[in-house]
Amino acid sequence: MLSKMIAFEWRYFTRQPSFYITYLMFFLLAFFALASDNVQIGAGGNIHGNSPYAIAQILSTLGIFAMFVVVNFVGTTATRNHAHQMEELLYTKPLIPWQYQLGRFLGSYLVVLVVLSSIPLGILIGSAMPWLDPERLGSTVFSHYVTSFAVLTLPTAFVLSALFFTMAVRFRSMMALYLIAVALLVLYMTTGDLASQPQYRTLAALIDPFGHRALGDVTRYWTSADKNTLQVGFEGLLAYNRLLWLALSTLVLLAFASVFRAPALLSRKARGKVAKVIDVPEFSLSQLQPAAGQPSTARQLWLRTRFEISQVVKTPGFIVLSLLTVALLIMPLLDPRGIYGAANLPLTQSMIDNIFGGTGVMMIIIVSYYVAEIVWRERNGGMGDIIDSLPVANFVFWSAKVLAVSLLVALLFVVGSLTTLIYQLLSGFDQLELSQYAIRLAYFAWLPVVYSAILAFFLQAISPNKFVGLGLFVLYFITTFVLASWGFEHSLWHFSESPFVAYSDMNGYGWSLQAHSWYMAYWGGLSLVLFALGFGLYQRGPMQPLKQRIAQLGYQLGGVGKGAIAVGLALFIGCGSYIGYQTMGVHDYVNSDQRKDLQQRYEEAYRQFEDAPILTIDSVKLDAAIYPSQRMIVASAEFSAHNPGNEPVEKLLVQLPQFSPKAEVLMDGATLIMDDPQLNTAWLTFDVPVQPGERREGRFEVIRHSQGLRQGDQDVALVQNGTFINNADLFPLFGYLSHQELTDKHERRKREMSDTRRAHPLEDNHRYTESFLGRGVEFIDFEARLSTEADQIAIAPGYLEKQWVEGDRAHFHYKMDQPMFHFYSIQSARYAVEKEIHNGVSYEVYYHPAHHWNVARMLEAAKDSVALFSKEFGPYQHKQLRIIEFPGYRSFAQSFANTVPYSEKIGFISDLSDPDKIDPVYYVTAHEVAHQWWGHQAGAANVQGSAVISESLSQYAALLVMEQKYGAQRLRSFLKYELDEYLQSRGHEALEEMPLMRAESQSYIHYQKGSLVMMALKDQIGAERLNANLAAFLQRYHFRNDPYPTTLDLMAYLKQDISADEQRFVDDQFSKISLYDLRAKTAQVEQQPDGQFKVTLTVLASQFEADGQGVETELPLAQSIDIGLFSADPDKLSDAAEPLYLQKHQLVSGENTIELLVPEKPAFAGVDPLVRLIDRDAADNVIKL
Amino acid sequence: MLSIKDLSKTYANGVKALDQVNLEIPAGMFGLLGPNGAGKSSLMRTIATLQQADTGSIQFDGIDVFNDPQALRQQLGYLPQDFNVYPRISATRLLDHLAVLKGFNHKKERKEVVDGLLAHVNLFLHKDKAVSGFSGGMRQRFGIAQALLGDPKLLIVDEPTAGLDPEERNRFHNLLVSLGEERVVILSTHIVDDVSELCPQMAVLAEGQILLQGNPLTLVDKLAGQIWRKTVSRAEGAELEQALPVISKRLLAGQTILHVLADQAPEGFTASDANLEDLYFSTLHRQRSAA
Repeated sequence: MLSKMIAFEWRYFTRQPSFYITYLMFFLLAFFALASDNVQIGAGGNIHGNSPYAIAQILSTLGIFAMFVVVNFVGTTATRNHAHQMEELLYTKPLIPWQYQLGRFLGSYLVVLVVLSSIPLGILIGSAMPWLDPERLGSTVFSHYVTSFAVLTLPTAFVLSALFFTMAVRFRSMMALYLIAVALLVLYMTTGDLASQPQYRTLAALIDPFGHRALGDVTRYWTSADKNTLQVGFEGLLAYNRLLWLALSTLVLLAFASVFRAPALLSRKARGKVAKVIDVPEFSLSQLQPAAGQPSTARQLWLRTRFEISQVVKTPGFIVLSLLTVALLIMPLLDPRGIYGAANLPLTQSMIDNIFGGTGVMMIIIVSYYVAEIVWRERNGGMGDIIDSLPVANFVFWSAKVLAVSLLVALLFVVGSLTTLIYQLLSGFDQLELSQYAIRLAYFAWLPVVYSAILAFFLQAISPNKFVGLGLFVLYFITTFVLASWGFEHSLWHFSESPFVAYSDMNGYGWSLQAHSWYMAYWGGLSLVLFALGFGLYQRGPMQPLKQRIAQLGYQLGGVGKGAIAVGLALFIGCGSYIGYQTMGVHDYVNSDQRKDLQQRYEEAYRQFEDAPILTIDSVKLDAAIYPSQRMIVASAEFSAHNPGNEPVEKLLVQLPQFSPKAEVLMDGATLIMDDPQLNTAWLTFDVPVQPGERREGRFEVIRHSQGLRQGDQDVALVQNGTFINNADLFPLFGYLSHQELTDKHERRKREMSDTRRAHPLEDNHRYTESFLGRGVEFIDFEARLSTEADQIAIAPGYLEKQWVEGDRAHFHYKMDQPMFHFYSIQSARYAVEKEIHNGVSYEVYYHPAHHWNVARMLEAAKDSVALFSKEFGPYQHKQLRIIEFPGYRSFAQSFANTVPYSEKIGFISDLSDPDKIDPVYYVTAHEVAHQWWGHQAGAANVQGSAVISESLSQYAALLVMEQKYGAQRLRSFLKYELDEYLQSRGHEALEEMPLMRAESQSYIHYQKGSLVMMALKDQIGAERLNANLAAFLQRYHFRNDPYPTTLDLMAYLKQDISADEQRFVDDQFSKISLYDLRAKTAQVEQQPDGQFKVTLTVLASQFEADGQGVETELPLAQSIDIGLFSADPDKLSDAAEPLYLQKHQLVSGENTIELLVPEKPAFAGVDPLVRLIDRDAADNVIKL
Repeated sequence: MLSIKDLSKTYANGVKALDQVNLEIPAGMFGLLGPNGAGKSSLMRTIATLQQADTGSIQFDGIDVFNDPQALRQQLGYLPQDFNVYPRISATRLLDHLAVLKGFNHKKERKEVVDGLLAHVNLFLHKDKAVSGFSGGMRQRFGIAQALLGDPKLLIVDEPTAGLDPEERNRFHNLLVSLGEERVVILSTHIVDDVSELCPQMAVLAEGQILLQGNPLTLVDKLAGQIWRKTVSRAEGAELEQALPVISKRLLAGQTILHVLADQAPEGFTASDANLEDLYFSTLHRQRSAA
């Protein structure tokens, strides 16, 4: 009987179209993951499309969506008898319960497996497509497909099948199953961020029924080479995860799916009736009256809208959706993520961002599912004939339905807002900004959803049933993705969209209200047309083909409907033309393919001039008048420039700035001729060539003006409040700009271009006189005269010489007394200022008045940093240090001479109330201050490793101040983030991982690995010797460009006055990709007669060198490494609790035995217990005794 | 009052539901008789503005139904053949809802008519219970109540007594008769007795065509002396059916009674009074033989 039941299920489903549809769907998803560039799961960069890692990723990612396959097949099986009212027929037959139930379960599980087997097949066939770049594929290995399927898909499908079968048997409702599945999916997707936090990873990996996060855990630190060659098996957390869930789901199935009980009908509860005596009114038919009034449209509309809403609001589905909305919002609120795990304050702008993020999926569900339900309520509910024959205009039915959906959407937003508002109040945050809630949620979030709903309504109106309508809407949804990949990226092509602009507390809505309004009017026009057509074509009565409804369209529309269509069309066409004219006519909008074409064109036309002789500017007198409300700057810069090379300069390639109606270079005897207006490039030709060493004076004149509508390329530098622009954006640039080249290696191959440009080789000494900021960027003398609107403060590097107000303009004169790089910023905004003079240096923070929370901490960090760095590395070169906030359109902090622009999105809004969290404000400030030494005092040559001098050394300096303030323990938790980030990022390397000394703008190397290596070095040789060497290095290269230092020079200084072993450590860390595998194997404790404890510890040690793809070869290890004994888990060590023992021991490759005598009995023992070395598995360093 | 001209309708699947239907329906009860699938519901729905015909026109009291359905709807009461109701709504609230849609704007006026109608169809005791939980008969009574809202000039009831017990059916018939004097009441049914008991005017519809139209008594009179009957065994019955124009075959106490339409009595048959059922079956019989 068991096999008969299995066979029955198989036959049943293989006759259902859904079997073939889902099979095809998963096949195509997998196929396109391989065969198309637009879909990528697991692959990309150096990772092959059909690598074992990519196969596993595709299987496990699609395995999450396989939940719906399970619901469809397994759920149908379990509820079929109930749904089709077959129960009474079936349950009177002599069934053997367990065989009947398990047979049905296994049969449907088998069907699910067959459907999912289309995934490996899709990958296999997709990888064989002839148009694929063979570079991006590895060889085809069948065992990769089979093993991944066995490890990932077989168990996941079983777990889901067992759980959903059980739930189906219990609830007997497909709707309930779908709701649970959707809820699970949404929960799963939105907890991703939380689950990736180091402290939750193990838990997240174990409780993931799909095994996806366990797979992520096992492969977290895999390099490209690992991903291309290693096959995931039953290992690590993945094995535990699979076992746990298989056991749990089997148990649930056997215990709760009524497997051993004969199936029975649901018993209906009889409801007690209470007899009541009621006066029945007398009524005779002669009393029948026609209604006194005419049917009132307003009254009908109000009634129907209320009715439609009540029909949805009271359903369990909607209640679940609302609760889910709340849950999704609460999660990020309870554990908000900022830099290094530190939270941000609950600003209204981020609360609303949370609501946007948390409700996105909900809105798609509502618009697709509820619209279908509501449109077809009368027809599918069986009341259609009665309702439709009532004297109610189509307009009323339709408007009520549209209004109902719109209000339901609004209701979810209100629920979301209340959730975050309550949270803000509970956390004692009082800047609630209700108007921001209202405007952003209603105008930017709600209105576009309403438009989409109107589209969904229209699609339902022209469809013969709700499934076709739903299908059409899903199709529309898919086209929005496809359209973009075909080059239709402009919002004019994307229904209900407008170009996204972030909200900024400083600059408010900026230009976005106006731009959004144009797009909303445009889409509103189309929505109005669709709305009118919707009610004109509304299906009234049971079988009115579309053709007949079209014939009646005129009558149904009436004058109002026709008027609406006319107005709608006029709006749509009018606003569309205006937007098109503004974005593509006045401004030259390009899509991403066209942009790449332009990059290619630039490279092909000008790369030949890369090393052509150029002029270097060495003095600048800036004069800039900023008109923030008009978003205009009128700027000029008088400069003097010299020819630093050995050949005369006859002509100069000039890159003219964006957004600038006027941009000129005026030099005597030179003419500027536009070369390529689309690329904004020009040639500056000299009548008399500039001879080597010769100096010429010149002048830039620029008017930058940002106005009108733009699609993507917004000018976020020049805004009403919070202008922040640097000289490279504002003024023309000389020479070829290699950073404008295309970098994606696959894109370049496709275009038959040479390999991606890399940094100049470290040994290329021709570049040693070029600075790391680019060719031609050298030290200058600097002076700036700025003016802005009277209520704003304008700031540039240098010291304020004079400040005055004239009419409605505020004027500022800044002058710099030290050499500084030709790299400066101009900022202007309505600032509050906090100043403090300490040891002759003026510390100043210019901030948005509402963002006052962390200003004191910034000042403190700046003071501490300047004090420490002056002591350790050398004096601070300026008498002033300014931190200046800018709007969150960009989120970074950047160090210019004595000036640090700092984004409103970081630091200023951090919540520093939790003393256990890393203090990101202190850290970022210290890092930027450190750049005044590393970067500004000591530059770096334009070769590999330049960022090590500016960034790694600034990281190190910042960590020194952090350690001084917060202690070693907190620093360790910071370094744990750095280690994790480094190990993860190297697995995503797109080109080639370089050793530290050759890092090529690879931030995970120069920041994360830089921190780790410098701190390990400090641990090895001590801060004193290390800082002395750094100070010597700084002194040698202080403001020097003849040449600039490289990492080779840095290493030479680092190696001064240290032992040969220590020198070898420097070499290992800087010139190799060096990794350790340290493991505490066994540890024994014996109490000695004298009361001491003897600990015998065996340690396995090895060291590896990795190549750029992550292939490792073992190195002989001989190094002194920490051995430690602890009374408590060293991970949870506080600074107060000293380790029982912590000393360096010389370890060699292989097994090392160490004997120690300590006075107290240790609880933990380990090697490198504080994880100072780069170890891919640091968890096994310590064992418990 | 209601005039239907040349109405034809063919569905997308090729079924010809209405074929050149012409009917003149005066005020009063009008019975539309026909077997299942004859096109009765199609005709009812077309009159009730729920679907369009391919050709033809319907006029009611000066309203062109196809060109201005909204005008007809104000004077229409419609009880569909089978219907369901919105879930979780009590009888009072649902009827009140429909009353607003019919134009009862004043709360007091509405409450009166809603309570009155519910009382009239014997649902007053159940007025606060969800209609979706009603039994078939109760639901049908609710359907009648809603159709009567607003004193419709045109009342269409499609198979109204299906699912009613005999007592309820009688009550309903009485109700219809009391209504059907100054308004048009179209009763569509496949039960001959419903028509013979209630309707001064009738038509027979089969395969989309009107086969017969007129006053039942006059029509039946034309059959006088042509109906013959005989009580036979089952086997005998089958044999005779081959040989004679048997229009109906009925069981009575285990025996089969055959009715035959003929000018002369066939052998062994005795004369029988013609009734509406004979008329109906003979009409269908003629139609089938012709086809």
